[in-house]
Amino acid sequence: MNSKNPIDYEIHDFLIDDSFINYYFKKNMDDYNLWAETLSRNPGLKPKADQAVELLQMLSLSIPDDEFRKELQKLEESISKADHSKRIGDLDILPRRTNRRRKLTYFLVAASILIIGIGYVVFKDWGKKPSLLSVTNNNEKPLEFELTDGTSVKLEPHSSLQYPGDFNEKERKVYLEGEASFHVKRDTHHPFKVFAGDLVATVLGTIFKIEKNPADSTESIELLSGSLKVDVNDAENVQRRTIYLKPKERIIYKHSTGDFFKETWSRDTLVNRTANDLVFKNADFATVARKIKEVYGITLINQSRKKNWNYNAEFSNAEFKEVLENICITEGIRSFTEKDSVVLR
Amino acid sequence: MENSQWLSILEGDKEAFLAFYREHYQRLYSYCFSLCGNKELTKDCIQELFLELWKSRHTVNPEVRNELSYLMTWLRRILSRQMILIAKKNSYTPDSASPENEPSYEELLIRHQDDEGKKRKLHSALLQLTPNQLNIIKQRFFEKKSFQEIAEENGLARQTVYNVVYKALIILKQAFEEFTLIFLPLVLPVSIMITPQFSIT
Repeated sequence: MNSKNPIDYEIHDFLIDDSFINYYFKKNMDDYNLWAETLSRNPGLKPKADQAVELLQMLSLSIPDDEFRKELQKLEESISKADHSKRIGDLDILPRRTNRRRKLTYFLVAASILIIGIGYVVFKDWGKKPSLLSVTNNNEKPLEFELTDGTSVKLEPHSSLQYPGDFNEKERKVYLEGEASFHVKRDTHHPFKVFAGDLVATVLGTIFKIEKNPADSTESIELLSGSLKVDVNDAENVQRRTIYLKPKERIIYKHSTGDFFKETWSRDTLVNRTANDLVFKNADFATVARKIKEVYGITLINQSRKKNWNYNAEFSNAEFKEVLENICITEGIRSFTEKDSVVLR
Repeated sequence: MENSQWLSILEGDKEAFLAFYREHYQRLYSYCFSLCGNKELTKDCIQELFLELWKSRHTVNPEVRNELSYLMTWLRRILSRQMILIAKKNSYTPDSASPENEPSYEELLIRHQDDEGKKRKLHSALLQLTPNQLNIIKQRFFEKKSFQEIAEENGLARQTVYNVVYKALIILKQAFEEFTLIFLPLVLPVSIMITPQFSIT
């Protein structure tokens, strides 16, 4: 509808562009990335984009970030005040609780005793770090295996997972580099936690999948069933935000900016992609090769001097030849076909 | 379906509570503001809502089907209560203060501006818009409907809706630029070396 190049955009052009509106309301990750990238590449565009945001805030009757932060701070203050005064007057509240609630209170007391007990044991063994086992998948196929607690893991190529040999701690902690899906054995007394970069996923229910693009940029956690709590930490590992996922939702986290989103998503998106709808975003060679393998069953071998790829492209219903041609032109390399694989030089 | 976030809030998980606040604030804000047209009152009511939710979390129904609309109803109750209080204080009849008399969208737009100069500029810009333009602007940006949805509801071609919004935006932009003129820095020539990939639909 609008054939203008975004670098020529006037304020009203931004607001007529659905992708910009999705960017502002964080409705769609692709549009967000597109605009975040466009604005960082074209700093001259920023003043106009800022004005467009202001106009958008005006028309949608929403308040600017700084006003929102003030409100958030006010709320945090008043709820901590409320918690404090409640502790003093706790006795007044007790009789109104239902039986179920009272049971819960007893349970909490029991649980905290348990925690103190465990805390003591951990304290005794302080300094003896539990040794972790490590599995790295260097094959081209996903690797499936089971952990000692009965959780099954599907580790994607070029990914590795560190986990304890036996889960005898309060929490079942595993550390992931790369991509994997987990079918977690339910055990509410021992939460299952996956540490992946800045993200920590705590399993409340069952099946989920973590994807990470090591080239920078994004990590995603997708929940297939059950429920999941995800904590996003900053560099100092101070817990910053918590997000809950319901089935068919996923969170995408972008390291460089610290932004993240929750969006509705289903496996169908993936199925469509493999049906020759191919999207590369800041992809390194490993990612490109993996997707090509998934879609066309052809193995790419990189013998060129180009090691740091940052490949961006979108294809729909494209033949392999077309994709390869685009890769070669963009990355400035040549290709040779050898049996069922293609060598890049 | 079990909603773990809601349950966590009711169990006293402060992080879950604040996450919920962040996620839904703007939605609740524009809803409440559209009922009363008063920024400060809106902010106070939302504070009150979340404080009440936190304090009464032990008695709130854990099996709410749609948490957001549940809170919207709650918010509306708080707003009515507040408006009656204000009305009593100023000895208005409570009738004119009830949220049933919702202000129009253009009135809301003007009331949402803090600055008197901006209010005037915006007012004269809004006078230049036809009722139809205003209505479609409202549907697109306030109700956040897509061009396609608006076209279907109004029995118009999508391109027509698009053109209406475009023309209206140019008028609004001109008023808007006048009051933000001071902030316009020199736009540096942009390098055309990089050709970004865009898909504009």
